[in-house]
Amino acid sequence: MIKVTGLSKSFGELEVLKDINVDIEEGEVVCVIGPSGSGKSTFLRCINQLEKANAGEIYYDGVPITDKKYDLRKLHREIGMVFQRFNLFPHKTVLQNIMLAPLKLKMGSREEIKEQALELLDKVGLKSKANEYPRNLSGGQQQRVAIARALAMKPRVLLFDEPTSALDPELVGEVLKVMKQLADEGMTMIVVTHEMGFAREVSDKVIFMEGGYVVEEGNPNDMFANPKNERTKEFLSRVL
Amino acid sequence: MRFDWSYSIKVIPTLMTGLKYTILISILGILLGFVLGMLTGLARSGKKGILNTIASVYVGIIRGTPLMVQALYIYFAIPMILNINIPVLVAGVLTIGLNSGAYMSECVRGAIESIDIGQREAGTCLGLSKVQVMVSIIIPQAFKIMLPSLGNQFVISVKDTSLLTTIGVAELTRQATQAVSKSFRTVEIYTSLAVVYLLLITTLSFILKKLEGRLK
Repeated sequence: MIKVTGLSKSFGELEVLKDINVDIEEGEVVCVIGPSGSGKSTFLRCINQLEKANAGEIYYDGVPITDKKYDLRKLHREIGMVFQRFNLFPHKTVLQNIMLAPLKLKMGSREEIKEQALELLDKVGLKSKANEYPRNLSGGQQQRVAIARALAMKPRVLLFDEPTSALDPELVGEVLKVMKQLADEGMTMIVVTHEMGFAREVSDKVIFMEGGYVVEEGNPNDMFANPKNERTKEFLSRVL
Repeated sequence: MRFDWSYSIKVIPTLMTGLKYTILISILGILLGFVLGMLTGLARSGKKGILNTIASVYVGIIRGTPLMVQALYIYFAIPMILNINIPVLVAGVLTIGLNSGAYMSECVRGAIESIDIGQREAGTCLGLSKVQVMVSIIIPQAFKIMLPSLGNQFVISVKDTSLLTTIGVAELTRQATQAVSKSFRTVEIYTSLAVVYLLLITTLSFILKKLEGRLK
């Protein structure tokens, strides 16, 4: 579904991604792990073109999205994103946050869109907060709203950029629970995370990145039990 | 000297005539300035390009020259260059509009650039176009931030209309100076003039504060 070949990215002199090659199948849950500054987030942001790669290609359903002529708005309608800092719209209520894009993109009548938004809020357990403003919500609640907002676009793929890193430890669980539910429903997900428990339990594939390289990838059981690469071993021994 | 209140009172009807022009020019000038400020502010907060350059040159010229010189240029020089006739009221509105626009442009740009990049990214990632992101997400948030400095500029612009007396606009200050030249009651008339400005600006500030409060 998503194929990354020879992807490289630099910010000025700093090379943050070096020759990345990754394949992601439909329905797969892929966790990207690794130390801070290893290029995980940049890799994720290249997939939906928030960052433009310096070299290499990314194919989505066989179509090169790194091509300048590709319509990125089509890509963004199909690949949703959940940010570390939630990025909810502070001037809109929870419900309005979710309804904004479907309304602007005329994905249905106002009633249909509202009904769908309320269903999504119910799904993330926040129906009672529909008319609150984001500032009145906890971090975990805000992140769940952000997930509902991304789901409102009926995306085929969801990207998560360290979705629990800005949360108080006791709020991490509620967000992971929603993500696990999505994974169980068959959503294709790419998750940059430091939550090793989640990676081990939920993902189909784990990618370990360090220094801009994909050092090792494989199924979570193998990788967590018997990491092949020395650096993976060292990283896992530090975080587990 | 003896302060004779009656002159202060007698000049009021004349000042009211001037006040009408001051208010008319202020409103039209600030409206023009607001539109210019929004457009050039947006252009300057965007990517480098022709629009950005035009907006930057405009802001540079206006900020680099005194308002009075701008008024003289618009009323006397431009008509000679283009061989057209610009009515003095139009010249007044253009001067206030072009001048306040450049300063509002800076308020707009500053406010837009102060909005977290994550807001733009979130909008983009939901499939919204650049214009939709700007209109639905960035501008509503930026507007709240820019309102106090825009309000400040409104007040400055109202005061700046007094400088239009140099090109002969029949506004408040002009009416007062003419009344003084007839009666020589300098202290009485200029006291009235100052009081009228004070009341006008105080009312405007009050309205702006209310508006700001309601938007918060």
